[in-house]
Amino acid sequence: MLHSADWQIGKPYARVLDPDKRARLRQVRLEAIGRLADHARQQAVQLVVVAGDLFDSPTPSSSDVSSVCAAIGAIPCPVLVIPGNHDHGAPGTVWHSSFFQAEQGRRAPNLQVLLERKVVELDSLVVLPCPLLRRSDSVDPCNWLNQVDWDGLPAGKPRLVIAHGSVQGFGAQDLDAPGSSNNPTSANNRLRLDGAWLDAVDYIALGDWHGLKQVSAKAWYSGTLEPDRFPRSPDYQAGQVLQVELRRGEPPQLQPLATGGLGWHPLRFSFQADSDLDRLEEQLEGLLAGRIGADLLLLEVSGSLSLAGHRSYEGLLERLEAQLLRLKLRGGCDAAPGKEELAQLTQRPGDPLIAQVASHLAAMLQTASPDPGRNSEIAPGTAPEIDPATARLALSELYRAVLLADAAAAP
Amino acid sequence: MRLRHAVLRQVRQHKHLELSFHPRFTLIGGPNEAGKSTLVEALHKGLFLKATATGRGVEELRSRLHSGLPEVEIGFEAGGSTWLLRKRFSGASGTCQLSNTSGVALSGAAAEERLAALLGVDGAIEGRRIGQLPQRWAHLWVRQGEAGSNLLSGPGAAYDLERLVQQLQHQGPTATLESPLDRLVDERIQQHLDGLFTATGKVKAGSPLAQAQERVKEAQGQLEQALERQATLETAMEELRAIGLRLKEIDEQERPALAAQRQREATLQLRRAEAKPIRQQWEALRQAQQSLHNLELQLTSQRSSQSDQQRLLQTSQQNLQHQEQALVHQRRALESLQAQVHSNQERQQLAQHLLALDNLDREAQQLQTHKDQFSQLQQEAEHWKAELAALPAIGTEQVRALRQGEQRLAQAQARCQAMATHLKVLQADQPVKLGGQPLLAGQEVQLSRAEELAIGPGVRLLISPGGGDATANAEQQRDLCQEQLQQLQGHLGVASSDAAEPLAQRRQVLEAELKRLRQAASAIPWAKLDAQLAELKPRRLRFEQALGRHAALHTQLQTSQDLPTGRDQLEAWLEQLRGASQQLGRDQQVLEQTVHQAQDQVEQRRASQRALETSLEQLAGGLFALEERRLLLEHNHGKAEALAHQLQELQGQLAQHDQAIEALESQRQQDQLSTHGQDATNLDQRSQLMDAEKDSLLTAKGHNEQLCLSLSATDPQAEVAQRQAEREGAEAESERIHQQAGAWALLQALLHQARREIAERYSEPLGQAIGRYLTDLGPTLQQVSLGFDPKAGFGALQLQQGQQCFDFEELSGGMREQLAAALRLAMAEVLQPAYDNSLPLVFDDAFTNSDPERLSGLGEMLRKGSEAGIQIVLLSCNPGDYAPLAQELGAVVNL
Repeated sequence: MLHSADWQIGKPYARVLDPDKRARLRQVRLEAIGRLADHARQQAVQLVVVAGDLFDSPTPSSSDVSSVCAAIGAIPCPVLVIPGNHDHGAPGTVWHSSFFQAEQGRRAPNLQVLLERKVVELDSLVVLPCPLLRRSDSVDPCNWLNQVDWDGLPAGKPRLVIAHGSVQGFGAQDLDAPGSSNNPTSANNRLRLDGAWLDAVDYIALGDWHGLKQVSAKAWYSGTLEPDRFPRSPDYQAGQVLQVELRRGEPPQLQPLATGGLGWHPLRFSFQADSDLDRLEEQLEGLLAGRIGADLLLLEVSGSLSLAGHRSYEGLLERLEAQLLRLKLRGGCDAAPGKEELAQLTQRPGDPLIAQVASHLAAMLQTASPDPGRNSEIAPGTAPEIDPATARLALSELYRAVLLADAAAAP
Repeated sequence: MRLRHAVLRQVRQHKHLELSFHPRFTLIGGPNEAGKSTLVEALHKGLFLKATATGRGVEELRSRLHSGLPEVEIGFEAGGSTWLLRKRFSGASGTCQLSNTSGVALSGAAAEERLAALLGVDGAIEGRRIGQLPQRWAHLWVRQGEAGSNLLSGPGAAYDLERLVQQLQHQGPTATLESPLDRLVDERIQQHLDGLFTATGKVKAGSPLAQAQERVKEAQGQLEQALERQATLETAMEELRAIGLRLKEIDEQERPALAAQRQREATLQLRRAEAKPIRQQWEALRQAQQSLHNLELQLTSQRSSQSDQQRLLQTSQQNLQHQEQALVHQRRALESLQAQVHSNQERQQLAQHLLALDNLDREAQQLQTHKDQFSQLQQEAEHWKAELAALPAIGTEQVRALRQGEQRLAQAQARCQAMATHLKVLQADQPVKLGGQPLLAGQEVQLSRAEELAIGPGVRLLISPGGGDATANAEQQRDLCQEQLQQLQGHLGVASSDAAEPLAQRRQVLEAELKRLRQAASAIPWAKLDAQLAELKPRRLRFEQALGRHAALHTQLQTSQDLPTGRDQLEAWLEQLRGASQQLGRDQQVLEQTVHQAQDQVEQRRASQRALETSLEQLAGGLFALEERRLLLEHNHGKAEALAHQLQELQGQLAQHDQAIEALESQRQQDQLSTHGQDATNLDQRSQLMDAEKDSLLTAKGHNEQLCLSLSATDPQAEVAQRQAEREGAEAESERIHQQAGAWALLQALLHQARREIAERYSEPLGQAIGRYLTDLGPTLQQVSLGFDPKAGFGALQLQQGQQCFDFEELSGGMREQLAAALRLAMAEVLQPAYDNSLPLVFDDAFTNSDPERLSGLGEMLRKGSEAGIQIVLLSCNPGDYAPLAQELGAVVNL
């Protein structure tokens, strides 16, 4: 079988401002299903399991429903799906809508949505689905497994548990920050995988964590088909499906198969001098190789550039915005006048005010603490407490104003 | 600028005033109301009020004393020329002419404009802005009463701030305060900030910052709406879930439970209904059984009573028989006894007859005896009767009557004697006659009536016995008694009672004897002796006839010799017979009583027997009726055994029903517990409630489904993400503008700070200039401090006295005048270069509060100013104070 989860079809990518890019990002998630279908075909799997969050929302758009059904219909084996926290199975959600049911019947007869916590016996295995029936449930959806009559199940068929949620004991560093879009209710929907039933099953197909993750000998998060975030650690693996070979009473045999289409690149860069801009360009070339519209970049910058250098840096960012599906900036590159720039301001005996203000700001930046609190109230005529960022900005603005005024004064 | 001369025409009290100003010092003296202040005012208005001005400013100049419109002419030096200014204030038609020695001759607006330029002001003041007029050259024009006010507390324009700063800048160690580029940059920044903030520092409406903040607010609102929609959707889904669960519960648990309960209830009713007729039948049968049982008991009892009564009847009959037999015996005994009685009676009669005959014999004998005795007695009586007849008929009565008469007579005699008056002539020598009857000596007379006693011839006495007539009556009584006794004696023939008594006694004896004889004779039934004797014969006959009736017996007895002979035997026999007869009579009586009683008893028994028979008949009737009833009961309900069997069967059925009902009721109680005290029996109501709940649940379900459907049309979750991103964008933009504004504000603040720092360098020379003037007032008053703000101008004027600093307002009135004068002198000194190195400084009665001791110091101050080139015009009502100075430095003008 193939174990997958967290397709999150219809994810809006709202922070991507360009609507075309947003559409592209959504489309890529649908295309990944095609790659999964290819693997299914090539590996001749008997079953595909989606452990929750097939849709990003319990009420996805009709076009997403149709697209998903068509994509699943192209998978050459049965597909079992449970609702996750994003697309929970409460009444009124997509799973109960007549449109979905019609589309499922028309386009994806191989799709079976498991909305009840009860034993489902298939030809080759026994499925124990633990669907999420509300967005947030304090009751462990695996609880029902404690009541299962294990002796009554067919002895020879491997037993597959499908569940969605975070797992107790799963290290905090592995989890997303609380309240993030992926894990909005981390306090709830917790799975306890240490019950007595654990010995009675052969594999637990988990969803919710978007990276590939082994929880125990029998329990795995497959991660999402198509990455949807920048990796936070080097061992974060997304954009794959797990091929699982199951036999009753034997440990599962697993093999990840790649399905991801887009590059999600984190890059950390610190500017010390204007010349660092060239170094950054080189690194970017290595990462993106001139691709257009196929990558996302998390650029974590620090340091500062001269005012002119910063203008070049802004030009670079503009280019990156155009090239990438998304450029996410973290931190910032300060724009501080270089020595010459500063001299242009301070060495002005004819303009005593400008010279004095520029000297004052330069002196302020030299003595300022690196991270002061931001001033909240700004009004003209008052002397606000100065934070370096404001001082830097003020110096830049002064520089700009002087340049402009000089230009205006020139004949 | 320097004043040369002035001409006022028709200005208030001045018809025509013409005066010249000394280039250095002009003292204008004059008393109050001389027109000093009018002059100061007219000069000021001439320089700064528009000629065409109307209103108060012009009206104040008009003269009430002199006809014609006010005209002011001022000659002055400025801009390297000598100028003549003429203004005629006639309202809107006022005229202004300005000309100089170089041939410039201007009028109207051009003249006003040129004048303003020469004076370094923006323009002449119009009538409606008259309020601004006092601010013009306020530092140079000290009006009366304003000498002690703080010039620096007003706006900078009031003391030509801009030009003052320029002059200080020119005169100071650094040449410039700011360059045009500085100013340009400052203006640019100011423009940026003006674009964002209002003058009071608030975010300007419509500014990019306001727009950005608005966008943030808007985005926040949209986000909240999206979140609300999402929450609504989630709630609707949760509700749908709850509704689904509840519906499932109703359909799968509660309704089947209700149906089962309804079934049980129906079964219960059915069971009860089924049990009811059985119970009724059972009750009926049980009653029948009871009735039957009662009947049996009654029958048994009555039968027993019947047999008892029959036995009783039998006994009674036997007894009756016995009693009747006894009665017959008793009757026979009675008859025998009656025969005995009869025989006895016969014998008795016989004896009686025999005795009667005997008695008859005896009676006849007695009668004869009596007859004999009677005849003897008759004879004796006859004897005695003859003796008696011979004797007088004196008896005891007659004796007693005699004796009584004798006694009565004696008594009457005694009485007469006692009552009569006794007369006794004892001796008489004369005849004594009583009642004519002579009385003799020794004769005694008794008088029983009044009697005349005559003694001698001459004496006559009437003697009356004491008793009156009584004496006479007594004598009459005595006479009567005597007569009666004599009659009686005569009648009886005896002399006295004593003679009569033996006769009476003999008579008594005879009579007693006769009586005895009579008595004896009365003892003899003599009267009918004969008749009696005659009567005895029929009686004998009757006895003999009776005897004849008992002849047989008589004979039998005589034969058997049972018949007693002799009377006594006969009597004894009779007595015996009588005794026997009495005994027989008693026996018979007893026997008769016995018979009677026996008869009564027989009668009683018969009656009771009859009663028994009746009772038996009734019993038989009752038994019949009971039998009838039993037959009827048996006919209706079967015989007792069958009935008992049937009852048992019914009992069994009832027990089954009761058991089932009990089980159902127990179940119902459990139902009631499980329905939480609701009336478990009111199934319809519960069913209706359930239907209603289901209806409302289905409605709510429909509503929520509709809600889900409509809210799902645009994915709320995606929208939330979108709105969140939008808000973040808006916030970032707002933050960016905010930050930029912060940078601008910082720049502006720093620019102002820099300007202030530079400007402060200029306040120092001004302060030093003031200090120089102040030294003339005393060595302790040298230090003056002064603040400067590029916008607000100079301020914070302080005077140091000894070790202490005082604000201007804290100083005394005189000191204020002096400090203000020093300030004005210093300002004029600084400003002079901009005005051809000369400026007029007008003091109108400016030192009224200053001590006379200070006057010399003041004079030195003014001298110093004058020496520095300031044209001082001093107006005073005490011109003498300043006359020497004026004479030394300039000119004196007296108004």
